[in-house]
Amino acid sequence: MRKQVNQSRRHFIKQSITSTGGLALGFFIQTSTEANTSTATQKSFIPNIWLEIESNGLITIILTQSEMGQGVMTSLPMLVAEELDANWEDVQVKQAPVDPVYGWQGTGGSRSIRKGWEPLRKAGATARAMLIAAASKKWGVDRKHCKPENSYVFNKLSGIKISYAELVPEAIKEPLPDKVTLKNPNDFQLIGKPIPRSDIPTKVNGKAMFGIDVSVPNMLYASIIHCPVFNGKFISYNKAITKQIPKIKHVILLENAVTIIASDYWSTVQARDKINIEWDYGEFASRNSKTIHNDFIKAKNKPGKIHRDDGENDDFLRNNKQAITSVYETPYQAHATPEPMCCTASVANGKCEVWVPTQQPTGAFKTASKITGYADENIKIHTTLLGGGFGRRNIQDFVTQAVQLSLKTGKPIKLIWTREEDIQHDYYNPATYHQLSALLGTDGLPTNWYHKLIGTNYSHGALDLPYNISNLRMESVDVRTGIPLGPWRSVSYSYNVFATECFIDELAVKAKEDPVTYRLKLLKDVPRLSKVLEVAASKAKWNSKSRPNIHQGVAITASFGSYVAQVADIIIDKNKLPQVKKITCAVDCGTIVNPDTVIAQIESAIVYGLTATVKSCVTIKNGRVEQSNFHDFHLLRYDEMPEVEVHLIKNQYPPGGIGEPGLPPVAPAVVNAYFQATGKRVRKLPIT
Amino acid sequence: MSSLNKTFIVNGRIHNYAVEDDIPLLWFLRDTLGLTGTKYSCGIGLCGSCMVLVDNKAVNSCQIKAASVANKSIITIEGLSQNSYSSVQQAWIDEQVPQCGYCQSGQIIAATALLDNNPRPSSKQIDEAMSAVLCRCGTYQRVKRAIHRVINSQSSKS
Ligand code: FES
Ligand code: FES
Repeated sequence: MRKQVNQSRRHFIKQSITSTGGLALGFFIQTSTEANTSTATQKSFIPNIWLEIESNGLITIILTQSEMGQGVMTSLPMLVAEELDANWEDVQVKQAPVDPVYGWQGTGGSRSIRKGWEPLRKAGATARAMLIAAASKKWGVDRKHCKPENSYVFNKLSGIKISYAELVPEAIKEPLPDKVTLKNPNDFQLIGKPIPRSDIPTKVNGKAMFGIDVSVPNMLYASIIHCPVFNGKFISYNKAITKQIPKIKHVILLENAVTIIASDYWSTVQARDKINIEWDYGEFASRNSKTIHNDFIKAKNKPGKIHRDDGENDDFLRNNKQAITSVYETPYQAHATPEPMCCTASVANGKCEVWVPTQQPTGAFKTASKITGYADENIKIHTTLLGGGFGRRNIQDFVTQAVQLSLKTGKPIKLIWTREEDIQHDYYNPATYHQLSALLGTDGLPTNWYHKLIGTNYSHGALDLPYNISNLRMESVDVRTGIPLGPWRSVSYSYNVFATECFIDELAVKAKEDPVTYRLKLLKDVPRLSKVLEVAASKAKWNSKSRPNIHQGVAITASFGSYVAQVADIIIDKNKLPQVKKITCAVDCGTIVNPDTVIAQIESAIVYGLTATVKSCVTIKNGRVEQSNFHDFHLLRYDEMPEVEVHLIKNQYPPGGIGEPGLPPVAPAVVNAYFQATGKRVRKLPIT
Repeated sequence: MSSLNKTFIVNGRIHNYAVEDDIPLLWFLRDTLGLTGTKYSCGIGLCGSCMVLVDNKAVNSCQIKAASVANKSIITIEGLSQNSYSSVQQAWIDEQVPQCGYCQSGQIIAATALLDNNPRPSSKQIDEAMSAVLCRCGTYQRVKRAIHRVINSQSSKS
């Protein structure tokens, strides 16, 4: 238990002592859009990151983020260790217990590094200042003669050194420094170096513990069957099932779902075929992709919510016979995390414990507390490793189910969704319909741009169009289709940028201009975007025409504080479909913390985006999702993987996000290349 | 449902169990033996996360019955190496392949089976073997590099 001894309100630092007499500093970083920034402005803010230095030299950083493959467990501690001048070997990371006291704990929106950049470095710098102060007192020399390095302070006058470990008992008595100076980026030792990720070794030997691997004594296994039609109602099931399969212990009804509970998971899977549930499908059974499309068409003429209105647009919209117009469409998409939804809960003796792969530990906490009504101290959430998140694990449906089941049975329950349930009961990345129109001036550049997004009001990627166009309106009409929605990787950039980056390409063609040159003319005010575009084009040998079968397309995006340009090299296969051979990608994500992690995230986002471009989609028939597993919800495979070449731009801007910005340009780059190859404009994804 | 006492040789250890004749090897490994490194992701033989070695061949453990592999040598990700890491696992660390890591047992098993049976596979053979394992995080490029790292280090040794 930490005892608070000192706090600096202005810098949001709390000073304290660990149970073993070490130095503890608490900081606050905003980790979620729902974050309690208000908490941070109250007179007693609540830290959600702790830095502890023990008298044995161990440096522990306690984080609230979840590791889902993005490498935060390595890159966030790097920020602290850099300013602390710590020996990287001495640094370890722990996940904070989930407790509302830490504020909202959540991971997503490519936020971790962006939000942690300042506070985590300040944490390191503060501790460093206190260690230096302790050393200077001990030696009776001025602080300027004390130089920290590799977990030691060196006395520049005498040449002797003392370890951080030895200094801890003195450093804890130091007051918090009024002000700390952060390093000049040119002096960084750790930031910018490829540091191996700490989570990798257990991910190659089978020891990594994911949510699905949790085991607790006396646990039962649960399988869930949701009503296949959204919003349908349960009528009956085969009650003899418990006799037919003796291992079945309970059949429990939840909202819109039936759960089968057994002493092993396989029995619950077998029972799925024998339980014969009868459902009342209700009205939604008449819905299909076509009727949803019709709803979009109807909504087209409704006045939209205006997100941006630059210059004069009314005349253009009243009379736009000269306008170039296009419609773009994207389908529903399932997140398809490799680990299906799962959660283990144990509700017993007035206590509730949950083990769950979640992007929102605090959300899981609140869910458990709402269902059980237990006091906060009787609820414990363990965040396991996540077998993929991509936004799906922001939602609490599976946590709700596991906690309810344990409450009802009085037994610990491990709930595992089948892949079929996972694909058919996702919260889908929304289907969208885009109307675009533009007018070109005598120089061929657009004087007017109009974008109406139908289906959702998520406007990023459209309202922040980076091009310099004087008259621009962007509006949207939300359409409630009854399909559960939840954004995936890169949120609305995924669909909006597909529309805008294909449309700008159409304008370039109309203006008889090269797509790269055309964009550059419109990007004069956005030097970081122009730069990545130039780099990607030059590295991709844009326009070199040296390889006759290769066709190229380009697209750019500025999102989550980062700038990305991609050139797709494609060939056309015998089925007249694009085969993507290479993606050349230039990225400016500001200061690069861990370059190898950045490259890995870009590679990953490209595969995710490419899958949605040429492979997967979700369609609706009779009120249900038609796809159910990887035979009809196709994912990109090894032999379809293009070469991905990533070029990082070096600069000293604060870091941008990196989990998502690599995704949006993929689809338009491929579609634009496809046009170059065939003269055919694809306006609807996926290209299959 | 019949349950017969059978002998299983998993990662070199012998287990005697009465298994139901239709339980897939996947759930036997995970829930009975507690070897959770082998993962469930699709259950229909299309993702490769559940891959294990049976007599040195890579098989999707969700697609075969445990009873059918009694007395055969079964190797899971946990048993690939007695000491630290096998050459394939080490290459996976060197190339920093895993992201979320969920599919990686399958990737490593598939690569191990490929390289053990054919130390110098053609790129077509690599494509064939590795296309059996899906990676939603898109680590394929690194998988490729890691495989070539193993191939190169083996050929430089021999
Ligand atoms: S779980 Fe066995 S192949 Fe997917
Ligand atoms: S590393 Fe996440 S699915 Fe492959």
